Amino acid sequence: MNEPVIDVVGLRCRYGGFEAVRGIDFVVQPGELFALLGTNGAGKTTTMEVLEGLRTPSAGSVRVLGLDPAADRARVRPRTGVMLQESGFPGDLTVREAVTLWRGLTSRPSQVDESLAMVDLSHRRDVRVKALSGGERRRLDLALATLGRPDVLFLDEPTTGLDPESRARTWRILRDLLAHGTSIVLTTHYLEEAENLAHRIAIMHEGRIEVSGSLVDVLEREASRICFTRPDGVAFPGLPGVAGRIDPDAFRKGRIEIRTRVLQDDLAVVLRWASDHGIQLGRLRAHHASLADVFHGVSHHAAVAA
Amino acid sequence: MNRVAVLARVELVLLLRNKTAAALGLAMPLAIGVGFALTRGGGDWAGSITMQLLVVHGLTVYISATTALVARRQDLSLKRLRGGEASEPVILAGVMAPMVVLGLVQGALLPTIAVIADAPMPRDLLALAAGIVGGTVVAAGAALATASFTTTAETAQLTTTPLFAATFGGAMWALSSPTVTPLMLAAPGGATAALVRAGFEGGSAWGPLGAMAVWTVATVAVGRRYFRWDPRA
Ligand SMILES: Nc1ncnc2c1ncn2[C@@H]1O[C@H](COP(=O)(O)OP(=O)(O)O)[C@@H](O)[C@H]1O
Ligand SMILES: [Mg+2]
Repeated sequence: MNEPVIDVVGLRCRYGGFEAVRGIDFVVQPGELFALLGTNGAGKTTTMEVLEGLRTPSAGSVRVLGLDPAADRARVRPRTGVMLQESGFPGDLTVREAVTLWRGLTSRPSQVDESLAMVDLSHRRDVRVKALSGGERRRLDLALATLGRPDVLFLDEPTTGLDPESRARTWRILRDLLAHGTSIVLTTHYLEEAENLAHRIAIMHEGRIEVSGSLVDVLEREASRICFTRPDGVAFPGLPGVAGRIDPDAFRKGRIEIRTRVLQDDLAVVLRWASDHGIQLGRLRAHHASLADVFHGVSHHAAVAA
Repeated sequence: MNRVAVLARVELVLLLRNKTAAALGLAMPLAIGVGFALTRGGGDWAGSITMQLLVVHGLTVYISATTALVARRQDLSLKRLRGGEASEPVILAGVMAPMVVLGLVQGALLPTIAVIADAPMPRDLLALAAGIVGGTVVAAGAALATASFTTTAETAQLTTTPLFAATFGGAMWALSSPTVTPLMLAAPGGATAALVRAGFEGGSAWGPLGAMAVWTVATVAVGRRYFRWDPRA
């Protein structure tokens, strides 16, 4: 078994009296993309800043490449790339000057032209940074984060504010980096981004990791769903005898929603019931839980428990 | 060190692109300094050159470097730089380097102009040089400390004023007395005045240099403790 590239144990972070991260543990394996999900204020950025060596935790331990990212800064930094949720540049610098500056501060930098071409900013190289659009600035951030050919890449909301085409380009760049062995920790609000790219994910809520594991494991947690509109004249007791649970609230609102662990069997039961009663099922859908279902489940359960 | 130069070069480019900052850091200290030299011919040259240096150390180094540090924090580039390979002292040195170099150049230039305009040659050149260099170092330390308590580039004009003004008071106090007391040396500007006077009239340079060392250590300690890299407190 390989050494994990990132090892977080019992991490806690407080801002004054407020504890933003409340004891989390996770590991990231080499070559893996680990996605940290969660609503605003869940503590993702705080966690990332600790991993990046920019913030001191109030408790717990964090290892990046087997080292302490703050104390062993000089040895860790040449091997990591950082894209903060928010960072800037003096607005009066041009794009090319910004990349040249970053090259001058980096041990094994890529070429300026090469990295601008990668993020499709070649045509904007002589534009002042302050004149870039939000999406262009985000692409410049990505060019700088990857300029040093890092072994570990930290990306805090790398595609927020990007148009679909730029987002697709970013995904291609990240897949390419993964193929070359880079390990990536990424936060995102786009669940399809995690579904598309992540090997493993963790969903944070109010400073804790509520769910984590491989994408398959996480999706397994949540029951599958069968939905259709309530057929006329059907009473609740007259519904098909499925193994799953039928949601009474949805029934009152005119929909049938079944949550089940045995999707295929229950679907067969529903279809046989419909054909026995000569019912056409309107808007019939049967699907495994999506990441969005799991995500909403986490925030909902946590809200109910609180 | 190479990285300090990389950062300093960029900071110099920015200084030249920003007309107000360039005027404040380049033209104004020289104009004021030359003004002092022209109006104070024949008389008290130690006093006149002290004032010139205080203007350079105050405007070119202290106020400009404070403003630069705060502006880089505000535009979030300090935060980005801290996430890269350059260490924290290197980043801070790089941002302040152009102001420090300009301060040294102007500090050397103004007494030279004064000598050309009829001031006597300094008796102890080393003491005068110590005043030029030491005052620049103290001003850079003070910029770091002041930037720790300044949130925007605009308020930097305000937060730097007390110390800037105090250096003139401290220097005049030290110059007004035939013997400088430790308290005068400890006052802002007092040590610079004492070193310039030692340069022209003789006297020990160790006392004022000690005072400058204490100022430097103290302001850097304040910076280490309170400097923030992120505008979000
Ligand atoms: N510098 C700060 N000072 C005080 N509170 C902060 C600071 N940064 C973040 N917080 C708070 O900590 C919590 C977690 O923030 P953050 O880590 O940015 O969450 P996320 O990235 O998941 O949206 C939020 O409630 C936020 O308001
Ligand atoms: Mg965040």
